[in-house]
Amino acid sequence: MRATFSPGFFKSDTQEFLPANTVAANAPLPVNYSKSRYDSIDGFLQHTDFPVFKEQFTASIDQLGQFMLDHAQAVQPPITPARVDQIRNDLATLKTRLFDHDQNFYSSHTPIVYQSGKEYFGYIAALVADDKCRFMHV
Amino acid sequence: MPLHARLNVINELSDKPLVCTGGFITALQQAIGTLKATRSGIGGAAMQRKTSMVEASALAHVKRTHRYHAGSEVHIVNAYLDHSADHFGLAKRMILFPLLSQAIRSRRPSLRFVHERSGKF
Repeated sequence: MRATFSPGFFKSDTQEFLPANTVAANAPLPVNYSKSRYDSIDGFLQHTDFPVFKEQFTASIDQLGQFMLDHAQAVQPPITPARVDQIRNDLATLKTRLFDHDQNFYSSHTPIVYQSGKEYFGYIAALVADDKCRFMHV
Repeated sequence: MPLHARLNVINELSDKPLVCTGGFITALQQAIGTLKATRSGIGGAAMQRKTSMVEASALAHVKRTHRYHAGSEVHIVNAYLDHSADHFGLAKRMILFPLLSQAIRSRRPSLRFVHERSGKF
């Protein structure tokens, strides 16, 4: 009888996900906005932590765009180059809206985006990049 | 985790942050839920299906019974989901508009939005 499922199908895999290979031992800790630590968004923008925060947030966004670019042709049907370009453009627009403070796109919700939004994006980037995942072309 | 599942998440997520904060945060939470469910076997798939069903019921209820600006229904749906999260065993939604959430609670909608279509109310 031909096996329908791989052995992994029968293993319990419900434990909380711990991002692998995402935090090197000497990497800076994740920086997120916190009102108690920075008092206000203006205070955060002036703080020395902000460049680190921006670099980390930007890296997570870029990672998703690069993953799409690298693997779009590896699935059936492949994702069209036009769609890949659109996705990468949307992600570039997101970065502009996040860090163009004259535009102030997220307005009074900027603290939420700079806290939960950044945490969530980092988490998604870690899940998407998980090296333990085996590519299964089904 | 299948490659196509990861690409689908990026595909569906990419333009959501460009609308509003509520849509942004909700889309991120949904993306995390999808990715976690995808790597959690049948249990994860069942949880994802349950979440989708409750979201769909809440959205249908909001469309029938609320007036809102097009595109802002996500905030009202989130208020309903936050209100009923414990009952359904779902993660709480982030509430950006507390007054809206209070208004939903004050109407005591409870689980009506799920059961009304089944005729149990």
